[in-house]
Amino acid sequence: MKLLEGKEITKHFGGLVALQNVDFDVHEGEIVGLIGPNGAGKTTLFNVITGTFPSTSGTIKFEEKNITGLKPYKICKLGIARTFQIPKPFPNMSVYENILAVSIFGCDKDKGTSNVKWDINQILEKFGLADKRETQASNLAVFELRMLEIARALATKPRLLLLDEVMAGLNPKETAQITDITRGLRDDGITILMIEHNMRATMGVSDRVIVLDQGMKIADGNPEKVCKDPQVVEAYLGEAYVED
Amino acid sequence: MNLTNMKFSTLLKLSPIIIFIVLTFAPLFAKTYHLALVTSVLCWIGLAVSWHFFSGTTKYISLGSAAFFGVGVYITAIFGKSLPFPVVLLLAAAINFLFALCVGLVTLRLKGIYFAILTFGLAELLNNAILFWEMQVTGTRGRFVTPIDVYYPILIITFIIILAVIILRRTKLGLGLRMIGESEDAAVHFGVNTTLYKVLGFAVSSMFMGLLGAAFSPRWGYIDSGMAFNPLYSFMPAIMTLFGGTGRIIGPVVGAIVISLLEEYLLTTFKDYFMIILGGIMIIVILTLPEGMTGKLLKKNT
Ligand SMILES: Nc1ncnc2c1ncn2[C@@H]1O[C@H](COP(=O)(O)OP(=O)(O)O)[C@@H](O)[C@H]1O
Ligand SMILES: [Mg+2]
Repeated sequence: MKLLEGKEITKHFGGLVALQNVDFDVHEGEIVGLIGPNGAGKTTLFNVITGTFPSTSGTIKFEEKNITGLKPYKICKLGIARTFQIPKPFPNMSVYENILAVSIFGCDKDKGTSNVKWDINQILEKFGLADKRETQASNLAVFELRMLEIARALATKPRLLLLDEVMAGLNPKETAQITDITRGLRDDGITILMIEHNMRATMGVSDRVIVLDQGMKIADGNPEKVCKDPQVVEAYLGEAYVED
Repeated sequence: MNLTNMKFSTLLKLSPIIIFIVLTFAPLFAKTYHLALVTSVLCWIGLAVSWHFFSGTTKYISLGSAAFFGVGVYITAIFGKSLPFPVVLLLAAAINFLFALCVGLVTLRLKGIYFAILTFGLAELLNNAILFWEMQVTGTRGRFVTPIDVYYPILIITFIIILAVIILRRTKLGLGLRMIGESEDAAVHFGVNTTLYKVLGFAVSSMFMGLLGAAFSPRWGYIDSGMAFNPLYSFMPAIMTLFGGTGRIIGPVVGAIVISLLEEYLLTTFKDYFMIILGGIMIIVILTLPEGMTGKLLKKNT
């Protein structure tokens, strides 16, 4: 079943075309990687999906329902949760309060067909934040902050989770930890759309990869096929291979 | 060590009740001058706590408190003779709530300094509009208010406001406002209807301010728009709260007490220079204690 579907999404910022006629879909139970060079429009697509700002044109459907133009808080309640590329915690709240607050507002009804344990303590445990429970979010280290960002999104009981570069700048061990968590969430019934700048990291976890370049979709398919696509190779100019 | 700590914390918890009881019986033994001073201080506490509930929490700095205080003052002046005082107070609360809903819907689209300027402009606009109306239409300047002693009304209303704010901060409204202050972007993406919460929070805070204005009005006997909408009512609650600290409710309470007493002292001792001295002290405090006076103290104790 198509969980999320975007049709001809276009977004202009003044004269700048950040997204141009992008069609995409995400099926239930998939992990989809959204990749592309810096400035390709990946975060902008997340912003359009979650209602941060309206798209210039195009429609978005979630569970067959048109959600185009809805406010972010409504989209969250429908079951789409996201992380921010630059984490946006509630800095003067403890880790526990961060998650509690979101679980109070983010989910009025049980959207779950998933097997995730929604208990806050179990979420903290899963993300290795149990002993940081009372720590103020502003005092967390980079990796912990990333974990909180994902944990908080999860606390809204999403059906679809949007992850924006949650692995950027982390060491291999930390990256592996997030990869494991991502797979686990999918196995528990949560569909995932994840942005990664680094192609290699994405290829391993994704069932399918969508590639954006200069606001346009240039490839969409299984990882092996996509990374051999000449257009993709050119867009990255070998960047992804040099990087690791 | 532990025992003294426990005694200290129970004493701290009981102190509001003790203070309330003392203040309730104060008119039996206190001098008129002191009672008048306490009335002013209580009114400032009420204003600062109301301001803190919305602006301190969300960081939408309103400089328009005088608009709501002033509307309250005028409502008593207009209806005080024809309606019983408690009804006038309820009327002031209701009108200010609705008025602030409308103001909030328009102004809360703006952030930061723009919101501050717009709210400040609103208070000045009301001040001048009423002045104009009185000169052109009614041909009067100001109004008489039947003078009564407002010590008890202010005492009761301020305590109700403090209690209400303590309770409201634990409700969904309070939590939503806190999330908005921490990160509005995150709040709206995690289920908070930020527009609704901001407008509601602003209306509740303004309602309290209007209530205080209505209760304070009879103390003057005679009011005009310059008194009712005095910019001091806009700036002081903000300054007091920032001075006392925005983290907890004790911040605006302590800030209001210290600054209003300081103002009283400076005003009687230095008259012409008091604003300059007060301003200087404020700058020093804000530069040296960014979390406010209570921020550092309380961190050590908890
Ligand atoms: N809020 C905004 N206002 C103006 N321009 C923006 C905004 N957000 C993104 N852009 C521009 O749109 C383009 C795509 O940005 P973005 O979606 O963040 O890229 P990325 O693929 O790296 O996440 C960039 O040129 C960026 O400067
Ligand atoms: Mg990005």
